[in-house]
Amino acid sequence: MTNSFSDNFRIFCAIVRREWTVIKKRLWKLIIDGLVVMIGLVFSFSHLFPLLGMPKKLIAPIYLGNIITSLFIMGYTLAHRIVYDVKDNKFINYQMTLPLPKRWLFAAYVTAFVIEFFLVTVPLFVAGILIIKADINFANTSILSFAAIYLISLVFFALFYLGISLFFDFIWFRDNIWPRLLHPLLILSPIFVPWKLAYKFSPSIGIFFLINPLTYVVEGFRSSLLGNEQFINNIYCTLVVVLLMIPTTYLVYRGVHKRLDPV
Amino acid sequence: MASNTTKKFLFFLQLLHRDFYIFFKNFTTDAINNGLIFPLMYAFFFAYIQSQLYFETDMLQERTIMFIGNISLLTLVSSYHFTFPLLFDFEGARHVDYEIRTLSPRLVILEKIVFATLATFALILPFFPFCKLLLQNKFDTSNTNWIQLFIILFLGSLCVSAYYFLAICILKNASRINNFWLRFNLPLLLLGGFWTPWYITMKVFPALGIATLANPFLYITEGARQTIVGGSKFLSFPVSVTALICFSLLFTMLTFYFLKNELIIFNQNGCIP
Repeated sequence: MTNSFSDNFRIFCAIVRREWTVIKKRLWKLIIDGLVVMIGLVFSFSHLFPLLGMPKKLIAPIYLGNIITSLFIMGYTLAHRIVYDVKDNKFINYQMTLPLPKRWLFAAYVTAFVIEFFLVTVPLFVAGILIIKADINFANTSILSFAAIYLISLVFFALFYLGISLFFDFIWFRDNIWPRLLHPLLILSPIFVPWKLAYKFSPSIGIFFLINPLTYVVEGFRSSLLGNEQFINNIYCTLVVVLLMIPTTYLVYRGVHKRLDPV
Repeated sequence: MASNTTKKFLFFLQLLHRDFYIFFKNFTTDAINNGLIFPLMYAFFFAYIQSQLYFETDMLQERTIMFIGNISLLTLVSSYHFTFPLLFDFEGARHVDYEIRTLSPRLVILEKIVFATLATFALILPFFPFCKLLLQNKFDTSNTNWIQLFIILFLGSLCVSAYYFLAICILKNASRINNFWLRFNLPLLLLGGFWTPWYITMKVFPALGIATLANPFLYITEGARQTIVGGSKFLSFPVSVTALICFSLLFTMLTFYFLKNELIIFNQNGCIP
């Protein structure tokens, strides 16, 4: 006999509630971690770089780009937990035996990731924006567009990190995930330079950056808060990030089948 | 018959030999990750793209100054790879308990620091020459003193390795590694001249500039900048060398002190030969 939608939803809510209890316990620790990253980056880019010769107009776009760095580090922490769980505790194996379709179980994981990302990052970004507000022109800001791209990006990150934590084995993840995947994604993206500037500097580099999914996330943040003129259009970025969820969902699917033997 | 000291020295060399045997077995992976991917990425992005977009075309020296700071991150990442297995070992197989049956705990730790230093140095050594090959005239090495630079890199490896072993003694479990990176390494990195040199910090916040003199990573970046770019803007080579040696000694002594709970107690329970 299969579960009804309401049965599945009830179990889903129970899993999310349990994750919420765990999130509440470590929320402050995560906020402190994020605060350290945010202060360090804001200080470097808004106070030190201009003295070395960087134009002040780049402060706001680069700060927004660095939001991705915080999300990246946080996502890694979450993925790290799953990797250790699959290797040692195997709590996930217990959850796999629950009378719940697997897509509901992993949707609960993604939901918990998104809640955690959201709660930790929003206060930090608001604080960062307040610190550098003198260098931000809010004339073209669209809060609604920003909220949309932001939430979609959080779901994308949750799927991506869940996917890589299940797809790669522990040793490979520990030794190679930063140098071979995360670092190249982070460095070879327009996080530290707006995309259009990079394209103007070298069209081939600009096109190369378009392969990187982070380009659409970061440019989406910029265009929704600073206007579409200097950055890739917000609607286009949002659409691409939504489309990128297809391969990341497939990565989760492959990871589950590779590592967890679902029945 | 060999004296006790000779025996200990031979055991020490044997442990070092074993560590290097494993190092060479994993050499391809380490060389690809740290010796190839990092220099390629950093040279391409930080020295080629970022520096040219941030600064005017005639600011070659500023670009070089900014790029050099990347060495501190590379040293941290490389050394982490050779030091933190000890922390995983504390929580897992405790191979270290076997090692201290053959050698005193302090010598075991000293051997691990020596190995981590040499292995880290071997991985970071080609970074600047490789970047020069890639970047050609976009990386200003006209005033570089390569020998002094390699001395700084060696001492930087020693200092970071000793710092990590101290961190291992204080952390005691692997679940706190992420906190350690975010709350200690990242601020030390950013305030240690990773992107901007010390004189800029002194210009904006003199008090902070003075406080950062207590940051060991600062002497790696300042030493590297001084030996590559030269001039009077950076801390001098002797100052950086002296500071790195002092920090290395301090971290090693503190490691010995904090490790006594972890290792020496076990050693005194009749396990030493």
